[in-house]
Amino acid sequence: MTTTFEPELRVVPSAPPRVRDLAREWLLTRDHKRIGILYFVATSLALALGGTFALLLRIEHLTPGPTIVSPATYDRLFTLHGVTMVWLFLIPSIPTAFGNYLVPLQIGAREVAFPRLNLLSFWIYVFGAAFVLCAMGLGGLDTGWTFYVPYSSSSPSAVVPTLVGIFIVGWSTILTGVNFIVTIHTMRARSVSWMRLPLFTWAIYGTSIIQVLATPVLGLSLLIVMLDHAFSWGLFDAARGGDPVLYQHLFWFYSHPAVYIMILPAMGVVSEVVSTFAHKNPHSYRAIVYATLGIAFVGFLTWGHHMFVAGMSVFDAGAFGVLSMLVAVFSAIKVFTWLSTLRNGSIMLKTPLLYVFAFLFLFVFGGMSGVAVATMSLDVHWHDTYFVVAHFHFIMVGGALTAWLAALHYWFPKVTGRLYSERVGMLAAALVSVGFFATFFPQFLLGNAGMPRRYYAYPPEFTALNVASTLGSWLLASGLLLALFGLAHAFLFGPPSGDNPWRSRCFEWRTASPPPAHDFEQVPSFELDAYDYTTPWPEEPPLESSAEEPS
Amino acid sequence: MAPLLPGVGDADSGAERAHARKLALAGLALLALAGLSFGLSYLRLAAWALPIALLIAVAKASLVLSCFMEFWREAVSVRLAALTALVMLLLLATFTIADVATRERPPLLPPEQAALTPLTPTGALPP
Amino acid sequence: MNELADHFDSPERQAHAARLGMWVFLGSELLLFAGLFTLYGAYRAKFPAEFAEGVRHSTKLLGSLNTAILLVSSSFAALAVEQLRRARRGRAVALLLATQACGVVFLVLKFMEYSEHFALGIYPGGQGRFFAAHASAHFEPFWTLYFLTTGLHALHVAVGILVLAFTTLALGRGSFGPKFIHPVHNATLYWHLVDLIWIFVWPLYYLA
Repeated sequence: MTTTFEPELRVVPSAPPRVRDLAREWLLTRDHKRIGILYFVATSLALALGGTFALLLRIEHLTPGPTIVSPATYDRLFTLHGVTMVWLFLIPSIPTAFGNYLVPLQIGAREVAFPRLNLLSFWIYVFGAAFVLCAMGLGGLDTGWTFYVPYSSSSPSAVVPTLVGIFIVGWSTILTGVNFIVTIHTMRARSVSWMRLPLFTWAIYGTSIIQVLATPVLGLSLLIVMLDHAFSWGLFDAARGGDPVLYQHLFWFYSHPAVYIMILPAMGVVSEVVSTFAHKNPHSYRAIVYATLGIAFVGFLTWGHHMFVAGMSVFDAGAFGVLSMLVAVFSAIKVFTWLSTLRNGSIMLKTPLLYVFAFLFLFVFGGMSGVAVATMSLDVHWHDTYFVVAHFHFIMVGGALTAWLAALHYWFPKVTGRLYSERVGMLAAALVSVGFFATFFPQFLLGNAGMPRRYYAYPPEFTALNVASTLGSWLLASGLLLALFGLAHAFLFGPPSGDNPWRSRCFEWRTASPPPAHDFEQVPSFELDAYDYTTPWPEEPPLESSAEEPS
Repeated sequence: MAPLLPGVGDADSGAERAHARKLALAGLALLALAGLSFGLSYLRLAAWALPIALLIAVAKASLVLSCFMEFWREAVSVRLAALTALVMLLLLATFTIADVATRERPPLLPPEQAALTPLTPTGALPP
Repeated sequence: MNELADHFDSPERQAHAARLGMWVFLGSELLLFAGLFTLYGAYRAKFPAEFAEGVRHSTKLLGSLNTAILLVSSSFAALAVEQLRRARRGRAVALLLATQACGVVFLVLKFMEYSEHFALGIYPGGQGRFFAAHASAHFEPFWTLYFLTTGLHALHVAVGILVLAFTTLALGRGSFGPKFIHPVHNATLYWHLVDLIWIFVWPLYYLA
């Protein structure tokens, strides 16, 4: 520890505040940093819940027949798991928690453009999430997270209240998106031009565009299902001339881009971590920026690949199949850029980078299987099997969740001013990666062998792979718990980190860690680029000898 | 009523009056276009009725956008935001309507052959 | 509210933020209706004859009157902003009130239209004697979409009236300081969007 700072400065105020004041200060705060932390707490709770449901599902699949729950409960569990993970964790997780905290810091602003709207959208999220969970907890929902008609319009479970809750959460997504777009357009410090924006901010920008433009279409499709369930409007009822495939069009026009709402911020995290820990300029900054915008746009052109076997026209299916592969082109540009950034870099192997390695492996694996399922003829075989389940978990968990963990470790010193234990962090990262692979790789094999998704029971010959998957899920869970423990311990007892423990050049590190109430004591000039590791930086603190610290 | 903008006050410059007149004219033009559309709906235009009505609607929409919403006086970012939303609307509509419109027969086959080839339930051609 | 918020460094930037925020939100609103226009196109491609017949059953006179009312109201809203820029608060308030009055008339006429449909036995979801009498054809998608689209639009009209009412109230009380007309401007932008949507709903469901 060469740099010593006073981390207690903001943790312990001079006079102990009353609990009520403290609660008001936090719960009604308009400070983007605090709102980010509130979001982090809320979305992490959602992750814990969704994870618990996943563990229960896996335990149920330990044996081919009934294990711990009834078939009806099983249906409700996988719906709960999907809804919680998609809308309450994955979509808000990185943009709302890290985006809120970091975007103003990365553009040299003191706030987001609409701080009150920001707080409002947090409370809308909490209200909507509580609504969803109460509806599903008390009433139960067994449609799966996709709410396909015609079953969702007749399912004797809590369809309407759950959809109302998701509708509410959607408002929060839209308002957050509007806020980020306006913030990035209008709040940048004078010298931070578009082509000098940190890559994480670019990623949040692309994500926000998707959030704003796709979410209303989900709102509409949910509204139609609600009206159908409540008043029997039957707009998609084939007996009344309706076309259920049209519901799927509307649903996937949102839900496919929603995948990029999850993965684009994750890619932003990876860009930051790679550059910082290779201590090197991204191989091509512009390539990453254009690929980000390209994914945001092309993501809207591919929704039909979820519907190859739904009875869509062959013409449309062919078009969607080809367009879907465009996403792989942009993703590949990013992956190669990251790899060549790492190449010849002065690598500092820390926990965030380890998670990024896991990300790169799992994301490429999941992405390539995605190209495979975007091929119509192959999809006919794999559709609605565990192959698809494995594919999207590789992207959502292997991609988004590992990047979320990388972000968590990478910006932990920024937020708390403390260092976590690398030893615990790396062990957790290893457990998560191995556990993840052990959970989901067998599912590729299961799916290819013909095990359908969302089925309660399976033939006995699938037992071994299912058991392997369940054991893997325990490994994954223990990795997550270990990471949580490591960070909680560091939060309470970790040694001070100094302002910039990673010696990153990125803009958010050019203020104190944790940042003062108004972000910058004085907004810096940002003359040095965010990724310029070649120009010497006069005020740069001396190189740390080692980050291994007693804990 | 006290003036809200000190300095600008009640001084009615010619340019300001011209702007108000422009808005009023735009309103009248909109009503005229609506009247035209209404009148045309009584003619037997058959297949042309919908495209013509939509064309008039586009003309009205551009009037509202440019005169009332001052679209062209907005910043580039604002125009870009509106344009992106419009593009997404067209994407959603195009692909979805194309699906329904082309579902009946597989393309890339001559009509006489297509008529003889029943579709499988998956929408794919039979082997 | 009437001063420069402390996190903006210039009034121009704050103005840009307010305007951009509104337009991005309007883009989001447009996508909500995009789904409805898409469904219209898809179902019309499927049932061209039924849609043509449905249009002939529409309450064309009332709907067209409503079009005129909405167009006039939009002109009022634009003129209100114009008057406000010329610091004529009284006239601006009057014009905004006229806009809202038009909105209320629109809703009343819309209600009358619905009553006419109900009297003919046309209800959303293909319920009612009209559909029983025409069991051989599929009129349900046209009418369900009609009720859904116009209902959602009417909801937006109602919200627009409320938003305009709040800003008018604040404007009348003098809550907005000099040169600060973004809330009024944004409220009228929302109103214009509602108008824009109707400009397309009207020909699709009433004319052709």
